[in-house]
Amino acid sequence: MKRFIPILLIAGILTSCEKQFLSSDPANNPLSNFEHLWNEVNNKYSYFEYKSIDWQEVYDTYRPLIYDGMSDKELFDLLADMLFELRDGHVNLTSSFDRSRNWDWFLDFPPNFNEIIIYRNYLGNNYWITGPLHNQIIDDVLYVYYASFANSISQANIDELMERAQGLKGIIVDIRSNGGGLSGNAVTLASALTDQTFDYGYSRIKNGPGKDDFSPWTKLSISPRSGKRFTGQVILLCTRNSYSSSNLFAQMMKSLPNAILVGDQTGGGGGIPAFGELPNGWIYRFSATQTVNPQGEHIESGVPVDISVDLSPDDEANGIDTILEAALEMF
Amino acid sequence: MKKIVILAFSVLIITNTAKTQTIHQLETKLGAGGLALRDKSMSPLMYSGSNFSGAIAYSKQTDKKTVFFQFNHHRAAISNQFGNSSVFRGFALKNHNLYNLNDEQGGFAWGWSNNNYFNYYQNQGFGNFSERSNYFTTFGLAGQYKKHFNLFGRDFDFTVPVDIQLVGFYLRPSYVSNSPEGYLYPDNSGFGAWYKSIEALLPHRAWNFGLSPNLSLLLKSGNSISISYQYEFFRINNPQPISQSSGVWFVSLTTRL
Repeated sequence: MKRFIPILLIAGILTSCEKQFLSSDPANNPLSNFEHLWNEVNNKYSYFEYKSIDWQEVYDTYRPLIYDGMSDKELFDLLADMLFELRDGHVNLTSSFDRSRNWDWFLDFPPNFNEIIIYRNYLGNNYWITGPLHNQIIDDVLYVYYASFANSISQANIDELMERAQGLKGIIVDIRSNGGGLSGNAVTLASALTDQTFDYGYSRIKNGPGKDDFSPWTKLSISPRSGKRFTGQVILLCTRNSYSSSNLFAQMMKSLPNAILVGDQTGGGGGIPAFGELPNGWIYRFSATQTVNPQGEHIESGVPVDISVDLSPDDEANGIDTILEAALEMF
Repeated sequence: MKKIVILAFSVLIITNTAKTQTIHQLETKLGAGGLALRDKSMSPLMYSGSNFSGAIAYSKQTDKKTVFFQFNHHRAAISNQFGNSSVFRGFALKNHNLYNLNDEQGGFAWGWSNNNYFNYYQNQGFGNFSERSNYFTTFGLAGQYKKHFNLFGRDFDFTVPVDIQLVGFYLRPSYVSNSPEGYLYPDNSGFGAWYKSIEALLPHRAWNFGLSPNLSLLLKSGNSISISYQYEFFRINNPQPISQSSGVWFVSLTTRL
């Protein structure tokens, strides 16, 4: 029995001590959190070169402002200011009390969209709610308002939409207030608007800490869905508030021969954000990929429209959507 | 002719003897315990929590060799000290080959082992790139201490299998994405991507250790009921270290086939 004692002791020590065999969590103080965030961005952010950002200079600016004893809110504000330097809507720092953001990509521009006018004067009271796609036939054109790519479209939704569009002059897809979501929904919708595979750009992802450490460019393509499709005229309405997945969808439509972009250029957001955590538990995200159009131009700052139209204040006061009216006149 | 008959008879006896001394066993296990994980590509913080596991094991034992296979499925709900959570799933196929294990008297036996692990976890606080996974195929040393004893008129076996993995290969996520590096290259074929992704498991890069003390009550039917504690640790070093430590208390029923 004596021979068992050491083994039983080992088993006893191991029991419920899984955590003991891992090193303890890193120090949680203002400096350690600052250093962790700065290093993560330094190693993984994908747009330093494109935006001509000297991240070391940012370090030199903000590091002296860190001091022991600063409050969580002071630290949060300082880190938020540092991240603001990236000029990127895909950059956030989230704590239990706030989420930092840079929304200059749409706040610095006219909104060019009034949702109340759309619902009251165009969708009316008998529009169809086909999943997240609110749609109405206006002057023999199917108008589709898609408020967020975060709301998933099913294949059944697409089937219904395509069925409704048959025989009409065209489709207007409105993503003017669509701040993005799941890019898979953009692919799903785009695959219903073509009968042949088309390329719309390239993407690559950071694969190392060096500034030039990226994977090779991967071609981005849309293949037609197997179900019902619409291959007539498509007009996409977008504004600066069309961001991220909406930006990507705009690039898809830009590459689609039968589509025209109307309104204002999109807000951008060409990089898919990667997430991480600070030693104090705050969660951050920032762009870790790049996307370019088939000509090799970044879409981080937006996709230009084919026909630029602004929402006229006079029209808006009269309940008229200038941009939608312009699109309807194109059919 | 007599010689041939005697020889044939001897062979038959030896063959039959060998057959009678081959033991096949099937073990069904259910257990719960804890799991702790730190994947620095995801967070500098440790994630830990409850770990539930089921396993099925098969062993074939002869006088000279014991072969043991175990398939495990783990499911754990883990979180960091600030409450952000992650769902963890793990699958493992372990194989031990032990030589000269004296079943009657016990003692030490040595051999080799092969582990195949797939671990997957998803951080609930993250949006894109929230998934991480890794895969191991490793080979190393295995050993087992076994002691048979009688207590209160009942027969017991106490065994401690142990293994440490020294060589093999593994796949890990690339720098940002869960896809291993080779899969980021669009020109790679399926096999090419896999080949470019695998990394050699060598002691300075990664290692894996397992220990599983086990106490079995032997039933007259030849079956047994056991309680065991299965501990596993693995680590992948640079560039973004992953450490995982898990322990599960199992209750199991072993059936002689």
